[in-house]
Amino acid sequence: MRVALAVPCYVDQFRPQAARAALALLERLGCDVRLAFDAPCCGQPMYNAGQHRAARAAADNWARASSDFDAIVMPSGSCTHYVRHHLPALLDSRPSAHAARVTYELCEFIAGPLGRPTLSGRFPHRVAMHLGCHAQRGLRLGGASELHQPVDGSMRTLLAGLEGLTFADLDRPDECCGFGGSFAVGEPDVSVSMGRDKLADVARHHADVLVSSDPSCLLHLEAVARARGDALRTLHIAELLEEATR
Amino acid sequence: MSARDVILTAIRAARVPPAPPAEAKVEQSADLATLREQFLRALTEVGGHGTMRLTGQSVDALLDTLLGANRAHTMIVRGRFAVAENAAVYVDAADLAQRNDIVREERMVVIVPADAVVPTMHEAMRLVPAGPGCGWFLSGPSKTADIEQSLVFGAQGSRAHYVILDADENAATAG
Amino acid sequence: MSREFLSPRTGHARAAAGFLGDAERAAWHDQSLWLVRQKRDRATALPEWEALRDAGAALKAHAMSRLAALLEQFERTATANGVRVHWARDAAEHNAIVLGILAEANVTRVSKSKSMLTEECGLNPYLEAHGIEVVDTDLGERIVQLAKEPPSHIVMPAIHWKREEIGALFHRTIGTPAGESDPDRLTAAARVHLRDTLLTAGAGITGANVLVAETGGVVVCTNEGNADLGMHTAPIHIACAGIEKIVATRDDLGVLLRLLARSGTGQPVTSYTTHVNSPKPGGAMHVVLVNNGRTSRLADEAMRSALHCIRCGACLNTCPVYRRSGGYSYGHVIQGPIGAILAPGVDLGAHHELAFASTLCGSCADVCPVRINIPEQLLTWRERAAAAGHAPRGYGVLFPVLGWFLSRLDRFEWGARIARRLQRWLPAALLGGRANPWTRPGRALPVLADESFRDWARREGRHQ
Repeated sequence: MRVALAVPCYVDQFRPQAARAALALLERLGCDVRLAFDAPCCGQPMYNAGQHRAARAAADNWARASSDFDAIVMPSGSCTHYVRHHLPALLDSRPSAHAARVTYELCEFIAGPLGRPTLSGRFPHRVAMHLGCHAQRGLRLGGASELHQPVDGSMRTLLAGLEGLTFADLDRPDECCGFGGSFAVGEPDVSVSMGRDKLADVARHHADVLVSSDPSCLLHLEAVARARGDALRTLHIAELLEEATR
Repeated sequence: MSARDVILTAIRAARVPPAPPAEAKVEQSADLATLREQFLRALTEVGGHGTMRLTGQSVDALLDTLLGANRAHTMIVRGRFAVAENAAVYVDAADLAQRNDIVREERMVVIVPADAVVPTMHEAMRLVPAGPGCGWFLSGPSKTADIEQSLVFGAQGSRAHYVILDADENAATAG
Repeated sequence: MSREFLSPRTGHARAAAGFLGDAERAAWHDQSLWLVRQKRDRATALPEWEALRDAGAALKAHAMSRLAALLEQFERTATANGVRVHWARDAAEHNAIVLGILAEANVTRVSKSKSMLTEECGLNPYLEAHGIEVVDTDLGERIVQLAKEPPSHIVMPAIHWKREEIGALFHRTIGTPAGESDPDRLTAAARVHLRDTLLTAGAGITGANVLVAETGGVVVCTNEGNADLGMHTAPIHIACAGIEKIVATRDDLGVLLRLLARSGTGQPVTSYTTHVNSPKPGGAMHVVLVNNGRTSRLADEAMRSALHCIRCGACLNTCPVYRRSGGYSYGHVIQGPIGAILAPGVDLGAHHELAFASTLCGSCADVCPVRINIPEQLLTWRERAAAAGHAPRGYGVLFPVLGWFLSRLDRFEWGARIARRLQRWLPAALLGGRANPWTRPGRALPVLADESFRDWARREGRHQ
């Protein structure tokens, strides 16, 4: 299957290893992956800050880049949620409607169009999961505790087959980590407090790895952990799967 | 224009598009014995005490068991029907001497016909009188958790709440 | 606090920082509310819960679509039942109507059970300025009233008070023994104090959880029975309600009663659900229907559903921001997520920043018993704030610049190269100083990778 890997702006610069892992994973699963997705950003950072005018040029560029592809995979629940649910209303254009139709979050793509292949591998670690709110409650890629559903989702399904992996189930498995885009700097104290609470939950359950399908959550959580000298390892789901199945 | 007309005009000017009424609820069906059991269980959960009065049992004897010999500070009222899902009993002001009897005493005893237990508030609402008057759903004693979320009974009304499901066939319920 | 480019020096972010300054208390506040959220989860675990929420949303949308007709029906029916119905355009008119009723009957002391509407209208200070003593009867409300504070939570007004503090307050104000902090004994003392006070109240003011057009009745839900003590003891009952509180039928009421307490406090129903359709024999009953900006909200299609709110408080309890910032950080009579979408509608200039006091995590929308799309409305308020020139400080510069860089690959990569150099040559202390909101509360600087993904792909000949 031919797909484009659309790498979000901050992943390109701050966490390229997540994109490389996503690429390797998709190829291992038989995809013909195109990387010439030459729009750097979907516009979400500006859009979520209410700055629609500032968002439009980036969004339009992104939507036009999507026109060349029949399937686009993003290693980010948050960006995917925005592309699917907000981009069309922001631009009201044919490319944006197309983008909303063909864009998938990575785990969603593996569990859906790729037909949920069984991934075998070994990852002898105790893993805590953080799905990311936009993947979870926006894209519904995992159950929500508010809706009395088990908080598992497509990420857990992908990890469940790995040998040696044990899950560290958190006390508040779907509590927000506090990143929230511009919130992280507009409300820095609450943001960091939420991050610390998430890390404390992870530590309470003796996880040695925190995995997320959202690199933006990881960017924040890793920074909070580092400031505290916390040795917790944070991995994007693609990084973990790549390491485990290599 | 009066305030009333100003408000009603502004509402009409808002031109809210029509929206259909909510779907009628599916009636839950369960046999009476199950409903009574569910009611009594829910009553315990909301901090009340419940019991059945069987044919031939005297109300007085039951009250002795529930309350002891001392009946001071006790209000005994008739309930019209009970709701299994939440242990609420409907009491109508027409069955009280005064409306504030409902919060007057420290102990409240409600005697309700045992065959008048409905599953949920959906069924209950159809039994609530529509005309002038006043009535209550009572579910357990008066309570508060306003001090550090610690549950305390008897914040303002009753400290203890009893319900007798009256199954006496010639039920002349006390009032 | 140091000056920061993005964080407002006043308002929610600053108040939140102050609240979090006492880390132990903030953690206690968070945990107290989380326990209520967990109770809610247990109480709402019914097979038909999601269908009930659908019904709640539908019956409210229906009521809003027929609002004028329903209010007229309510007025007709209530009037026929002997209730005096009043209409108030705004808070001032509402307060004047209530004062007029009290003055006519020479009332100098009134009891009041919890009503967010009277808080919204500032009724207490207004009546007190006119020589009328107001006694709040809900225990939590009485606590904050004695402390001369507003409620910090719409359902649990004193959720931010610790028992020892309440003990000290009661010792000072109602004469409980010094050092008494046992909730049972403090509650018992408040009970005696309130009962004595209530016997001499000339009127009882209540809110209304629901108005039912079909019966012309007012429905009031309490756990303490305090509304009953107030309204049935005094000769006059005044119920104050926003016009959006109306529903068409008793069937609709049944749905809301199943949703309300389960969502709010995790109870299957409140201890007392009082239906008052007419005045008590020999007494008088008034209903004051208040607009105070609600019709503007009604006309605002994107934001209309905020009027569905039944004030259960579930969105506050679940909100990770509210739990860590406290009710006062919102600076509005309604706090938390629902407050953050209501307040900007009252005054966008004053409250726009509440729209930014959210991570948009969506938990509020998933617990809302009437399915208000809170995150979507927050986003819409953000957009409107920006359009009206009320964006948070710095946003109007930062985001257009960011947008310029992010709108084309060449600009993006050029900007990233500059940033990478800055990161290499500037000391981290300069980038991550106290003026940087990212690092200031305890977060390390993010590190740009040595080689971006695209640069790697180009090097590998994969950029195709």
